Amino acid sequence: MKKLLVAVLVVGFIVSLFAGCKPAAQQPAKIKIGLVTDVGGRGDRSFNDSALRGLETWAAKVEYVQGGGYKALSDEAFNASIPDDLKDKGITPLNVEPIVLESKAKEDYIPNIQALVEQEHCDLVIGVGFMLAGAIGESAKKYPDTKFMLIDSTPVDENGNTVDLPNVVSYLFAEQECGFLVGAIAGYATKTNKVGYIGGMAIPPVLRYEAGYRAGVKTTNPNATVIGQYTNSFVDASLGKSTAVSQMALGADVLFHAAGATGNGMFQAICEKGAPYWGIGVDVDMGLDPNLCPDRTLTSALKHVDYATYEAIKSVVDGTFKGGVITLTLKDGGVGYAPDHVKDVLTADQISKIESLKTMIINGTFTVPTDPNEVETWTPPTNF
Amino acid sequence: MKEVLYRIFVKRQEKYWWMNILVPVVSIFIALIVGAVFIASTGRNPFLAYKYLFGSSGLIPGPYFKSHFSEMLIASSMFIATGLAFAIPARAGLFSIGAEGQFIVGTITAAFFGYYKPLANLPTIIHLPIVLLMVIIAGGLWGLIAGYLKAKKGINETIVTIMLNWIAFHLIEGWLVTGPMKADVATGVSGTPYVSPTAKLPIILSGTRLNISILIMLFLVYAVWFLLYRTVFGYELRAMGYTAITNMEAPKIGGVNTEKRIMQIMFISGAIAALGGSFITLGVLFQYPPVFEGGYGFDGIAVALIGGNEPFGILLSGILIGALRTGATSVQLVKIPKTFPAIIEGLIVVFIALHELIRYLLVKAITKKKEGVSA
Repeated sequence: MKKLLVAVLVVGFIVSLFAGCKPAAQQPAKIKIGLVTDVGGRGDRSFNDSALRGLETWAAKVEYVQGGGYKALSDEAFNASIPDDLKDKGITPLNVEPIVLESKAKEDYIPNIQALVEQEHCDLVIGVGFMLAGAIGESAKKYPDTKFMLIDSTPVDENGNTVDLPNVVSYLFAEQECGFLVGAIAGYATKTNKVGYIGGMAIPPVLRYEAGYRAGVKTTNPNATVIGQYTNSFVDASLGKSTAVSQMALGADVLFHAAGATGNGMFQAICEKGAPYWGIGVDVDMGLDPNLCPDRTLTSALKHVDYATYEAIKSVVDGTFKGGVITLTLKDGGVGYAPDHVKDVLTADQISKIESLKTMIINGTFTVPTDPNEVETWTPPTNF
Repeated sequence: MKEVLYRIFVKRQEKYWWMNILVPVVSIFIALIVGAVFIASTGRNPFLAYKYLFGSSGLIPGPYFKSHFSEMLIASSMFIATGLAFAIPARAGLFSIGAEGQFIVGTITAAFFGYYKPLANLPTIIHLPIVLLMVIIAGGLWGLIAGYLKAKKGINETIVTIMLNWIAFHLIEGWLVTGPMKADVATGVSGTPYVSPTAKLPIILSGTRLNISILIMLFLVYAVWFLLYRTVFGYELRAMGYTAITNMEAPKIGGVNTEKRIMQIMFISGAIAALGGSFITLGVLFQYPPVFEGGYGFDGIAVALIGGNEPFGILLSGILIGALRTGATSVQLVKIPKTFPAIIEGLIVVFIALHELIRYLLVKAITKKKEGVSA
């Protein structure tokens, strides 16, 4: 019985130890930027990592230590992290403190945002991805004094209606424009006149990619067919691999994916098959990623989530933050394509045609469809 | 009262009744200590980890206790549901791991009847019970498939429930959510449409998301206890469980219609799991999202194991797992990966599974002491 008494006392002691703890009160010296990832989380090599680069690498100039924590980033590494097409955008460190919360499940979004606002007193809370539309919408209403940024979607309230809030800025991208350019490149590159497309889920940004890609292929190679498939997952690499293998078996020799981490499996399949298959990356320049398949990455459809994140943080630091919807296009450098192996596959003439297509989109000579169903009836520009 | 406590904790005819509480508590403590060793071995502070984990778990009063407490109860009610859904068949000797599939069947059913237009204008008092009733029927029927195949055809219920999980998953996420039940793209919503406000579970603590789901689960825990220990059904169920290893020969000879009972048990199990799934739609997300991580069904097995397959034990273990889940993401604030609480949960399960060993060591330590005293 004595032993039991001792055990009870020990338990009581330990519990009181935890209960006595309070988060240390500290005066924020820096502007605090909170970021909630979607369930893809850190290490998806595309979407979430891109937003994290905008916050951690560029705005805060720190490097994430595996498992948790940060260390300072050297100037060389900082400069190397800025892609060529953003060199002239004047990206400099902003002296902010990043606080990143990953989410285990969709139910965690609101508690995570709540922790960032109430416990950490963040000045700006960033929601990465359309899946946070509801969480950001509800939280922004609840905390009108905190600024919010939402990537890829506009906020919705708890009844599913799109809302316009003065403290939320939504960044959208013209995915159809960069999808169009890589589609045009794929149309030139294919030898079999069959190209593949792997989509994650049929959600608006991915559908815009598909529409642009199909339109691009139609423009440069009207005889080519697109083998398109949706995997209904952004996280299942093995599914991406089997989908890619089946598309290659059907004769596709250039494959493009807009499927997050599922697409990593596509590159794995291409790496194993080798020539003559080419893969096209998405969101970030996957040709620079040694963990994927840099040797067989033809190009990548760039979507500068990192730049959008950086811009939003900068607006808070400068005090120029304004709510609303901002759509980044080819014109302002928000989207683009990566050079990767384009030079090795396309002729100089073809590359100049791609560049002129790019100029035509920027000048508004023609518009790229945003709905895959419209591509059938869409008239492509001629002489390509 | 004494009889209740006896029923809850004394099923193994232990010499000391408190042994049934001590074994899980000791297992949890060993798991926490081993977890601390893991954290310390990566050079991080284990005390800080536990401070943040439990500080925002809703178990210990502190800053922001109200919101953490309500988040904890929201999560717990779902874990209790799947825990019960595993435990009821387990007590009858049926190893059903179909709670995951039944859970999402409940989630999608609640979403459909929540946004279904002809019902949307009914008052909550009518609309919500209709939705919950439909959830119970749909989840129960999903569970009944495995029960029917087991009872009538003798097909292993474990394998059938695993397969039904996948069928439910692909049927819902591969077809329904992206097909017939998809929200209009123009509304900017992905996944199914949002449920009507009249189908949402009423909030019981203002300023938080805490809704009546925990009250429903408290009632169900009591109802399941009553069913198990106060009805003929429960008596026969337990008799089947004790003789499952001999193909339930004894209850059959004793006049128990085991076929009927198996189907009833699987229906109830599926209905409870589905009810847990409906809480996601009606209390947290208000729609079926395009990607749903789930995992509640499988965690329910751990909940039932920690709770010793006893309704009140499941109540406590459901709260524990719910608290770990609630505190999970905040450990990132002190630079510890969000997966750490999952390690703790896994360790608890491991040490609970080793309970025979822990029980043996505890009994040995205590009886030795007693002998020493008396000698």
